[in-house]
Amino acid sequence: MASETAGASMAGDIRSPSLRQRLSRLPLSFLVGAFLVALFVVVGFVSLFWTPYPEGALSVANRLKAPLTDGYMFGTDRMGRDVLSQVMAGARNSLFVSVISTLIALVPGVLLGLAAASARGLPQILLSRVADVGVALPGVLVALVVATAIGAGNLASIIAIVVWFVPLVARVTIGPARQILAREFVEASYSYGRGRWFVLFRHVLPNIGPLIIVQGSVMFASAILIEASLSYLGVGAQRPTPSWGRLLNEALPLIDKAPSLMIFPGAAIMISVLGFNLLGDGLRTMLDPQQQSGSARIA
Amino acid sequence: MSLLVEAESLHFTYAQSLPWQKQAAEPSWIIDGVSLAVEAGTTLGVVGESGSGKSTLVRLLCGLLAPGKGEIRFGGRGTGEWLERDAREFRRRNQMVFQSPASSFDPRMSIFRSLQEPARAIERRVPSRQEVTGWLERVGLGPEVLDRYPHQLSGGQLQRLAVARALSLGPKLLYADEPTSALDVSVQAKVLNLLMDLRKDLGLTLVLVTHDLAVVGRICETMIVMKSGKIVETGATADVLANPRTDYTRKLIEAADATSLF
Amino acid sequence: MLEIRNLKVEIGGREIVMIDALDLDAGERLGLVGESGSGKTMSAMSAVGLQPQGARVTGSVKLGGRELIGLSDGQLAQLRGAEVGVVFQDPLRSLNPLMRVGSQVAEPLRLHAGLSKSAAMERAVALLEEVRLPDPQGLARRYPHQLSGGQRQRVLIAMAIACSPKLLIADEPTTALDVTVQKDILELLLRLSRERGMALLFVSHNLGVIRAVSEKVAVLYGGHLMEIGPVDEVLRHPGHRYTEALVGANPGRSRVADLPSQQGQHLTTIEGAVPAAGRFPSGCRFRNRCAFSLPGCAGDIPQTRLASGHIFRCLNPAIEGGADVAAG
Repeated sequence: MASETAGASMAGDIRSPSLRQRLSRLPLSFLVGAFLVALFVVVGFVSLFWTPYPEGALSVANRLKAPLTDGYMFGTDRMGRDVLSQVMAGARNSLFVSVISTLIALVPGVLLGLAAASARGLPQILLSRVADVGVALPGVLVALVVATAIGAGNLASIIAIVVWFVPLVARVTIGPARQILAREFVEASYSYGRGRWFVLFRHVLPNIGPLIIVQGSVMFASAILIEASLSYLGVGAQRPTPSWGRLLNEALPLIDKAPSLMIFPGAAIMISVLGFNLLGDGLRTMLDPQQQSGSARIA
Repeated sequence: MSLLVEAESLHFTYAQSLPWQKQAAEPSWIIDGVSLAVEAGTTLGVVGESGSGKSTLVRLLCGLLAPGKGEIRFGGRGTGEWLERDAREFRRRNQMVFQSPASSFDPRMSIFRSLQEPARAIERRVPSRQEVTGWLERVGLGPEVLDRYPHQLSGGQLQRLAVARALSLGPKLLYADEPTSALDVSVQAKVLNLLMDLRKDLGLTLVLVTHDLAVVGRICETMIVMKSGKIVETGATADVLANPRTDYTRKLIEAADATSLF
Repeated sequence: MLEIRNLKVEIGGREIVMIDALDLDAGERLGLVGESGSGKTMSAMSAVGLQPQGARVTGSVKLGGRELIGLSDGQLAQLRGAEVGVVFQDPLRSLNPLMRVGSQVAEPLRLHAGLSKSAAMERAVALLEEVRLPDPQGLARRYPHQLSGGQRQRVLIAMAIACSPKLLIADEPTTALDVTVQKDILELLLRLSRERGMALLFVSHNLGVIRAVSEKVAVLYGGHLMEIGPVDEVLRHPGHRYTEALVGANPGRSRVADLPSQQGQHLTTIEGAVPAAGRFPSGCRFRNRCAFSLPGCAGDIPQTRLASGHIFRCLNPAIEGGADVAAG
């Protein structure tokens, strides 16, 4: 019997597309987001090795300088510390806290979501409710409790963010996981004797992977905001650990005398959060419609 | 002729009561007292409209669901016992083809990998490319599909691959749940011809679930008609179609005849 | 009443549909049959301005002498309510889940016939009765999800015929329904067409369904018309080889009681698969998959016209040509 091939695959380009052509096919949100995120990461990374002035260096003689005076690009704060250096260092801290807490939260979150999606009866109800209740917990309150227990600082921020995120991730995972579990190839897998967790890891996870990645990107944005908020409230990073949130807090009483002290860390937060959100948006656009081209035809 | 599969007073329902819920005196059964017997080497058509329970029935027979009440026997032994002691052998001998070809394959696995699944799971071995290509030949497909992914193939190809996958371990019994409903008629013809041939060549027993009486008429020697979880009529196809005994069957036949070609 | 000439639908520069000529008289019932990718839905929808976004429609579609191609969206919408009714495949998706059924049927009456709210409601209940729904008054107050699939489809039909259109287009209206319900809906459409003198353009992949409802059948493949003619004649004596294969592939060729005697016989199959849009061969779209193709099939193929109105384009047909062989 002669072999058949479907004509579904598109006629390929004669030459593979140039870099510019490939870049232009990517959604704008992804490109802008990726750029902003890259900026954020590079600045944070560089601050490990170099900042215009030593981060915590006090120089009372040079206090409250306006931006772009005397070699201080962003000016200085009320103790004479260079704002630019602190903002750069703040990037590093934000990056650290948000990446760690997101990654830590993803693992139990996804596991909880997978377990809830594949459970039946009582366990299913319980697990789903855990996720729902977790989302209802007020994050700031949790952070305050944790900080009271173990002391304020990055660790408290990380723990608070993780506790906040795990149920969130679980909730986001349950829906798509259930959809995959309802597909016939999962039934087929069970019919071959595959167990529940094989199906979850080998079939469900790869199929919801892209969704989780998109979610992760958006979570990075949230984490940055939460970390900044906690530091602003005094529960997060304490001196000498740099943090944008705390810079905001310190800038507040000087808002009419030196507004730039608030503007720069604020802008930094805004740009990094925007970057991750755009990146997540772009990823979502890239990952979904792609499945449509060359989709299976019933013919 | 030996009886391959028997079911006795099967009852099944999905709803599970939670610890704090009171048990209804008699829950509404999706499968409500079904008894049947399938002889080895025959083709049985399971006909019914939506909600009749026909898809649930084959899943029970195949071991994918466990009955609430009643017993299923395969080759004389209870399926419960099979699944406890000899699960792999039972699975090797009972395979299923599903309704939606696009949904029957993991979109993230290559066709080659998907076809290997039954052997990997049931026989704990990894079949070679050569062996898998042999399976493809049986359903009229060439080895170039092996490295493709489901979204690159048509529904007809995927359904034939599903058949190849199901037959890879040489089962005795093949269940097909509306295998051609999602396909165009010319593609359906290919799949039905394939099933007819394989049945002849491999001595397969086939249980075919469909809503299409014409398919049953052309392919199945015996048939059962289901309604609301019960079997309302059973017998040789030629007999049932020519002399239906229940009004419901008559209605189904009339409806099918209304859309025949001549 | 409906005249379609050289209707071409293009998407992304690729020709999806090209119908050279299709006519429908007043009160006539035509079935448009084709498998997936045949362009049957695209053709029917594009003829009344319901083509997908990004599709380019050219050619001529005249309804009662009036040209439809080129009309504005507003004009087409007006037309669709008053002169053309459309019934889609999935009633659940076509009905507003938040609106009572009676109000939905009344809507076209208020929009196009300008009836007052109460008058429209009265007419709506009458329509629900005409489509043989039980307890029309009570049913009018229910919501779509409270009805069965068959009932919902009847509601859709009532909506479509509300303003007494000259033409009803039905796109696979029974595909999602059980066979017994399907039979009833088909009988309903037949009856409505006869009683109201309403033309019916019925789109389906199912030849048997087409035969149950239509007088004429048009066979589409790859967006082109392969054959058209009186339904019984085309099915019994198909001209084009594709039609022949389609008929042969159908298991329901006779009454079901007669089928078991044919057990063991293969059904007719078609080699290969439907190519993607834009990758059809020149000349006859079907020739690469045809067991009877000739070298001449790659070029223009003249029409074979039989006296009965049975027309097809095939160089190696399943039946002999009739007295008129028109180049075309």
